[in-house]
Amino acid sequence: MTSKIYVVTDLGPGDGGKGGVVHKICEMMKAHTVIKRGGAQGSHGVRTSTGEQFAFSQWGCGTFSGIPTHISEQMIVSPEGLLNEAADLRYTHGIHDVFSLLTVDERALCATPFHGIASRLKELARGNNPRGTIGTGVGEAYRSYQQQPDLAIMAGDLKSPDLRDRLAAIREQVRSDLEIVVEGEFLAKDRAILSEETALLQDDGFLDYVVGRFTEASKQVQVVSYDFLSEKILTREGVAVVETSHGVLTDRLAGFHPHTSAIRTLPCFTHDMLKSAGYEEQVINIGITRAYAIRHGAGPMPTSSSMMKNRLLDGSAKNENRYQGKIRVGPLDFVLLKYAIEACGGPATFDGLAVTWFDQILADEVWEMCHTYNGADDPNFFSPLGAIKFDIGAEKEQLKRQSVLTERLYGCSPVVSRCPISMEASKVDLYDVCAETMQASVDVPVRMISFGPTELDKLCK
Amino acid sequence: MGRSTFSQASYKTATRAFVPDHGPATSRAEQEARITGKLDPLVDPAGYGVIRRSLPRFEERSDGTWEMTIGTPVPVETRVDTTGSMGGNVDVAIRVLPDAFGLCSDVLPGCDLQMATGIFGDCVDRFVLCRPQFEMEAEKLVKQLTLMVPERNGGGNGGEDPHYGIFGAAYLTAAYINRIELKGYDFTISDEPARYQLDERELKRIFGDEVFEKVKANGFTIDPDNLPSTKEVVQALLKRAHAFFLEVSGRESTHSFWLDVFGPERVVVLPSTEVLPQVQAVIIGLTEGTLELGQVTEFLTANNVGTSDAEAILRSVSNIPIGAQAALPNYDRRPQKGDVFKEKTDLWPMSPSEVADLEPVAVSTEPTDESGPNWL
Repeated sequence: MTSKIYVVTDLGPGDGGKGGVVHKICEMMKAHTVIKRGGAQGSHGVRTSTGEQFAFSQWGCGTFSGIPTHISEQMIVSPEGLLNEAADLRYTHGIHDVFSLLTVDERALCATPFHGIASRLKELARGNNPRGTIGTGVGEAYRSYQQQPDLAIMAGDLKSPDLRDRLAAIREQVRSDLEIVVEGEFLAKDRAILSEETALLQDDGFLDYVVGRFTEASKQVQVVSYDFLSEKILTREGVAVVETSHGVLTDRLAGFHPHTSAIRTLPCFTHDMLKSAGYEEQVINIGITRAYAIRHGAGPMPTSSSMMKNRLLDGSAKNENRYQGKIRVGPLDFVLLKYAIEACGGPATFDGLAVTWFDQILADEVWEMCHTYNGADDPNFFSPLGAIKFDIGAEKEQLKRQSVLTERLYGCSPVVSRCPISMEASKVDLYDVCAETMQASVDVPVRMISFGPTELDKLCK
Repeated sequence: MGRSTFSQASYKTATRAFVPDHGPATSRAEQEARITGKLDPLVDPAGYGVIRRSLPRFEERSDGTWEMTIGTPVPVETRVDTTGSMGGNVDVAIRVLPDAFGLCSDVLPGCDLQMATGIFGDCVDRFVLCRPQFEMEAEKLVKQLTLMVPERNGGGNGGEDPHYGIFGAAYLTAAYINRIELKGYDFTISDEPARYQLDERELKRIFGDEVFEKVKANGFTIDPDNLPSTKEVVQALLKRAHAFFLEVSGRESTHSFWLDVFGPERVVVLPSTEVLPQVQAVIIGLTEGTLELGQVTEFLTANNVGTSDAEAILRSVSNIPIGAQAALPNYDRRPQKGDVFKEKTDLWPMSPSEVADLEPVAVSTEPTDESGPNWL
């Protein structure tokens, strides 16, 4: 029986360093499985002490260690993406049998290239007011599933004889959904993309291509029944890790609408999944935060600092692109961090924090942080001490509330404090400085600090 | 990771799946390329990070070490001319694939044969080069061959452009076998001469705008303003591969060009592409020391090569550097199937005493967090 499951949750808007943390836990605890939740569009970077480097999307971050991945029912899977990622792992890392390291729950929802087109065109239609998307169609697949569940393709449907009809129906739904969108105004620089993408939606050859890729995926992927998690994975001796994409600040309801994902990223959903699978043993909740704030794409980020961006982003392997937008960094934002922890149930939810990218703070010789904002004076959204109030209600009202909160955050400016960091300090001393600061600020103990990219650079206590 | 390899059954399944009943095997890919103007990334020289890799295959052991599943990987890259009269060479390559894999495996006992058979054309073509990935499974090999886009017509300018493929082989290949200071194999097959110089624009068109960054990332430095000549590229290739030109035509202009570029010991007569597997196996066997010169004629005739062709091939291979691989210092140290590596990225396996000293993994009925590592 699995005796312990580590649930890893990014407490920011993503890009917290989940890949390295999951890889570290897998290596250190000899995990038997990585269970994936969230969306196929995630990109979790792993760099190993033996020189391997890869950004995992659907395979878990224990893959380099030969640890199998189980894509749970709470993951939106991209069959096309699976084939591409498998080819990348095969041809750039020599993992020739990577599908033998993967199982997919039959209930996992599939995103299609048509959803990807919808996602990208909707983002382009927003012109200079982006929402921020990765553009793979995961969110579109989810929203489409909510509206017309009968049209959805689940992993268990990949071998269905009517796969082509199903994909054609999704294409039709996307065409219909986009009718008004494509008639709107587009930036001049986006018109060529618009025309290419809309042409694909009319092209039966592209439909055939998609059918071919899904069929290929159906041959490669081991789709397993709903009880595989309870019967085959959780019955294994040892430890498992749950790796969730995105971060709390892009949770559909707790995040800052509209700059969110369709996915629920809070750890309570992982807990529910484990409970449904009959798991009653120990769960260790690890919250992840970079030692500074980062946001890739649109959305409120009060501590954003262009000066810090130039100093810190070198080497983070995050590229700007048309859909995700710009990358911003800034002082560590304890206001947002505390909000994220509150959204997860409060400090008691977490057994520990993993603080990543502390090496960049060390190189900077100063740790900049923000405990409060100027302009946080709307009592509906901020406490007298400046904390963001977390409230959760019915979806429609919640989205309205979060939308106003987003506007309020845009009106805030950070009060930044600076903690000098000595380059001569030992890692143990730095650990203590970091742990004391974090404990005092968010009331969660620090249990891992990353001083570099590989598993050997991560100090755990 | 992985241990599957070529089999007749999977070859038959793959040809049924990927090769159309009528017309050239590449017809679907050719049609696709006409529409998209692109090659499939599997065979696009710029695809999958540009650098082609030949890596050992491992499976993780219960103690966290890694066991080599097949043997030392030996990459064999082949570039076939598909211009003019050689336009049907992809179909030939698919037809003779079982022989190619079988015969080459026979002369590479205990090794993990990894093949990449591509095609080249002319710089006036849309696609000068199709460069696949190193593969060892029939399904992947057949699929990649059917993704090629041969131009067939030839440039009509008195030469072809295989030297860009040779450039890729020399500077854009990362092979484990080179890390242990042994070499893979490289074959260029044509009936035409090539050109002595490479063009920066063509290199970027073929391998992508970042070609020189990729070359650098692979451990080489090339000045775009002072590109190596074809002869220099071949010399660079010879540092990492036993490279040969297999000459189909017997035309003087072709012969003299390639003699000049490769040297007389590396130009071998190929009576027809139908017998490419046999000639490649002979060359590899002689270089590895697994086949002796006196066995060549019998080997060839036993494998369906006519007597006169066999004699011509024998005369031609008599001058190649026989035993060149076997003479390299690490030849006898090549890791074998079952060898245990501490890390997948290690150069050499652990010694038997190091493996024996590995602590056995405790099988405990106690909860793992009490008997195993603990963190939180």
